[in-house]
Amino acid sequence: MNTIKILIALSIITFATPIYAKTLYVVSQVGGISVIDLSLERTVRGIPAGMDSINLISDPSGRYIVIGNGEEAGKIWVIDRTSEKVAAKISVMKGKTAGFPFFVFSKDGAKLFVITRYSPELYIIGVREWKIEKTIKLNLSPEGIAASPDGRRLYIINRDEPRLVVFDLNTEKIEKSINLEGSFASILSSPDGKLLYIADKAASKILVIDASTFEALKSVVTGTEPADMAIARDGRFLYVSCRFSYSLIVIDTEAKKAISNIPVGIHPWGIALNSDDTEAYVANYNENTISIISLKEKREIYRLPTSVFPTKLIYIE
Amino acid sequence: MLRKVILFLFILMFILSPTASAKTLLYVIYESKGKVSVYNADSEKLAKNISTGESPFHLALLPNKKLIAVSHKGVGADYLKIIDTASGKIKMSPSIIVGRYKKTGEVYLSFDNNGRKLYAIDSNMNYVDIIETEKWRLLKRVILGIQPKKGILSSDGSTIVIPNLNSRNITFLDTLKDNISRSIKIDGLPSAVAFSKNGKHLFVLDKENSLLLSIDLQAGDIIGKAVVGNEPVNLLLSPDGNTIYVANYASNSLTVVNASTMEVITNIAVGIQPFGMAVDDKTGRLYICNYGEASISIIDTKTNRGIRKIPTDATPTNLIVVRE
Repeated sequence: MNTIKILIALSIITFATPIYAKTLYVVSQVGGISVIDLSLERTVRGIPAGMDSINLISDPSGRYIVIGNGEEAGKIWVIDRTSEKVAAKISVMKGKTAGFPFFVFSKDGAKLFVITRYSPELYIIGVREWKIEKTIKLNLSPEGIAASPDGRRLYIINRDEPRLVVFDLNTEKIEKSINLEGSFASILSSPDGKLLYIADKAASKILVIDASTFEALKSVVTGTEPADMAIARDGRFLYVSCRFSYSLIVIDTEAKKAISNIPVGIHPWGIALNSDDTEAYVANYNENTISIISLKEKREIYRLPTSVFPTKLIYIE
Repeated sequence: MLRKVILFLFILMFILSPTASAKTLLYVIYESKGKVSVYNADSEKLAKNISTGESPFHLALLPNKKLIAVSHKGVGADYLKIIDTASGKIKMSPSIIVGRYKKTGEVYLSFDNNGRKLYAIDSNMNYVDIIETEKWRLLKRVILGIQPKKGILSSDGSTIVIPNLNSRNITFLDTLKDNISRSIKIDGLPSAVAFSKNGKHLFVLDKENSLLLSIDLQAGDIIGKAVVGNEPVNLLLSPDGNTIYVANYASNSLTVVNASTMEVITNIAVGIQPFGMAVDDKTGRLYICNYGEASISIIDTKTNRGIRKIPTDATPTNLIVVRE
């Protein structure tokens, strides 16, 4: 009788424990991906992913991680999270040796769009076989990419002749190009697709742009040199890491106003949010740490060490 | 001949006098070097070094501009030194130390409107020493909250307002009776205060929550808030009173806020650990001491842009602008 009880208890424990704990995957410029188990509050292992990687993304299913890679010139690596092995290597940079690609997945996860800072092409990659389906010459100098939630457009922010480029995915052509003033660090679409947020590091502002008229509605002052942005699933709050003021700014997207300044580590960069938007994680590039922030209390609750020069990170539960 | 010479001299004096009287000086404290350096604000050149003894911290100008009081911190440091602005020398070291703890830290100074009294707020001993300026003797000691910071005199001179960082409140000191007349609670760590131009509002920095608060002085209510940077420690109004400048010590930046709407206008990157600030009323130039990097940042308050950074030979703490 007792053994049955124990067995039942054990099976409950087994099933109640998720296969994946609350995990952060942090890419560092000096050496691969660090896997942080948030319940253990420490790095549990590393995934080799080459040197000089700056960006990473996971597909909507959370099974794959895509990472830019500088060690193997001009390739991005796809890592299968179940085996933590490289599932594919895709050549996207034509001999350039800079691991600075920008990624975005289509909403259904079937396609991956890749542009790089130093290469003028847009790559459309089919996820089923991890093969390049199309290479489109754009001749841009991109600083970031976002996809409209309806899957019809890509938004690219351009460094030279600062502008927002709207790319139509049906016609596969540039639909519109809107000149803007500033020096851009990142772009994000609101979850409903109605607004675009562009971080202007020169003016320490976030431009709020109407995604139907492409008119600038407002600019919201942040800390100095805004870098990365993340938005809550309901679109209510926008989080901005500010590289030179060592802070995470919380913007109320309805009031279009900063409502909180949360001090973090030195030179914060990548931001990730947990699945219910109660916590934010910020990679402190020049401090080799991750700030764990309670979004309810709007303050940092602890800081974890990580590998050297962490840039971007993702949260997977 | 003599008449011609006299006439010539008169003309010369006439030509020279306006430029001579318009000279603006910056008095900058260098804690680590034990000195106050005097710069010509126009040429940005060093005019004079005044040795003040170990660890000078804060300074205040007597309203008649004849004397500058300098406070000190550190072991065995003198409490006060008085600089004579005409000679640029230390005129006296008043011995008014009454049981002052030797390792005490920040002492903030402010004169009353007619210069008869000096208020020396000791941030570690949690009191203000009220000193008469004729013979530099201690008149009274008033106990404040925990870790009081710089006191600000109202424009009518009737009140000195002092933020008590760790008591989470603000003390109002009546300068006629020299006693505490009012206290306002703050849900945070008040680190600095400033009056609005019309004297109706008090601006308060909250170091804990990175906020600038606007308090209606009649009701005592918070009527406006603006998000600033990490560890705001000092604030100042533009000469016209329309704009507030907040030094964010741990964000290495200055937040610029519209004083009436409390909207953040911009954030300006300055040097490492901005602390002391002073504005030249005539040119509208704002000077910021970068305590962490040995430089002074200059901001144009008319355009809200950085003009330049002057390198200094040590890390500056505080400064004042003196128009001769």
